[in-house]
Amino acid sequence: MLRQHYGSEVKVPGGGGPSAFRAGVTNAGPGNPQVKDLLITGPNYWSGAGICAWVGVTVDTSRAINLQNVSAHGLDTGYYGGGILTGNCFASGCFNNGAHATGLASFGFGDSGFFGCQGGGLMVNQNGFMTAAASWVCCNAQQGVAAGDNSEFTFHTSTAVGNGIDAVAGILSLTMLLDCSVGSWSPASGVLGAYGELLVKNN
Amino acid sequence: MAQIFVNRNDLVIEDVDHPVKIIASYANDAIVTVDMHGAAATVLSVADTVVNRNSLNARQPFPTLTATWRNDYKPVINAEAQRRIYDVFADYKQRNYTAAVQGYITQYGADATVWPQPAKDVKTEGDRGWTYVTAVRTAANAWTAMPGGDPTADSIWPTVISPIK
Repeated sequence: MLRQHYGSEVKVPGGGGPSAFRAGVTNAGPGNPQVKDLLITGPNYWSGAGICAWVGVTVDTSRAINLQNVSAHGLDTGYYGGGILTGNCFASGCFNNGAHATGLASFGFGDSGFFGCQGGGLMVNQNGFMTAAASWVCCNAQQGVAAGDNSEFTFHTSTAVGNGIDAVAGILSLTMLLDCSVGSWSPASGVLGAYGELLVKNN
Repeated sequence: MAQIFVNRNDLVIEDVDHPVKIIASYANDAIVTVDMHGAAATVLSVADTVVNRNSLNARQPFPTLTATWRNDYKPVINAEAQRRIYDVFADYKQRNYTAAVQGYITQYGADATVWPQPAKDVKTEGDRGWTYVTAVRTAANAWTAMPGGDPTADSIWPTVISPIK
């Protein structure tokens, strides 16, 4: 179904096990290149990596990339890294997360969607920042959106439903749900958790 | 100490490969209700040392209980006993009933059989609460180790009574 909507496809091959890191698209240099109208597919099985090995798009710390209408499917993680990533993106059927920002990363998504991943839809951890606006995060096995390990997530005018749990603030982290439709969340809105978890929901 | 919420079913199926996932945690003095995270979840009071914060990973964002958390059973059992008692006989009501009965003893004497009916009714209702408190405390004190499965399950505690008026 995805192939009907994209003229170009990047295939990320499987094999090599959990230490064989591969990305469909990455920016290894300076600047903020734009990548648009691209489908990135994986082998449709899990590498076995706890974090991820086969990813759609990745940017390392101090790198940036701008995505427009990019879909990732069947990888460990659709969008992963520690740099700056912005996009109108979609991820489905991933085996860890739809998107995972980590280690000082800053990811921003608008008009995006993250569906049917075996881990979570959107995850930010280890001193990262993530925001998603006008987006959908649905039917992922674990969390819909989550911030953990000293991170921050802003979820704005978006929907997270049908996930294992739709929104989570983890240890020493802040998750803000602003004008969102969310079915379940943890901890309770406005109540500080025992280990510095804070989730704020305005509606 | 922290109050943690876990899924009841996770307590039942717990083993080495399926540690109990903590879906929310609050300070021990935070006011929480057992249904705060839905009917499938329950609340446990545990020491911070049994919360495994290293269990977070890219596939799941929650800490878990350590494999040995059941060894420290007293905080869990005592907190559950207290929760069950307060659910039906809140601490302020315990004080009110104690004060009322003390007043009746001063006013009418120690023999409650000769008290006026309204005073007898107050004592009867209070005694119903105290009987339940004793039953719950007896059950809690009888355990010498953590019960298997869900230590907050209704099936292993005295039958819940209707709240004291």
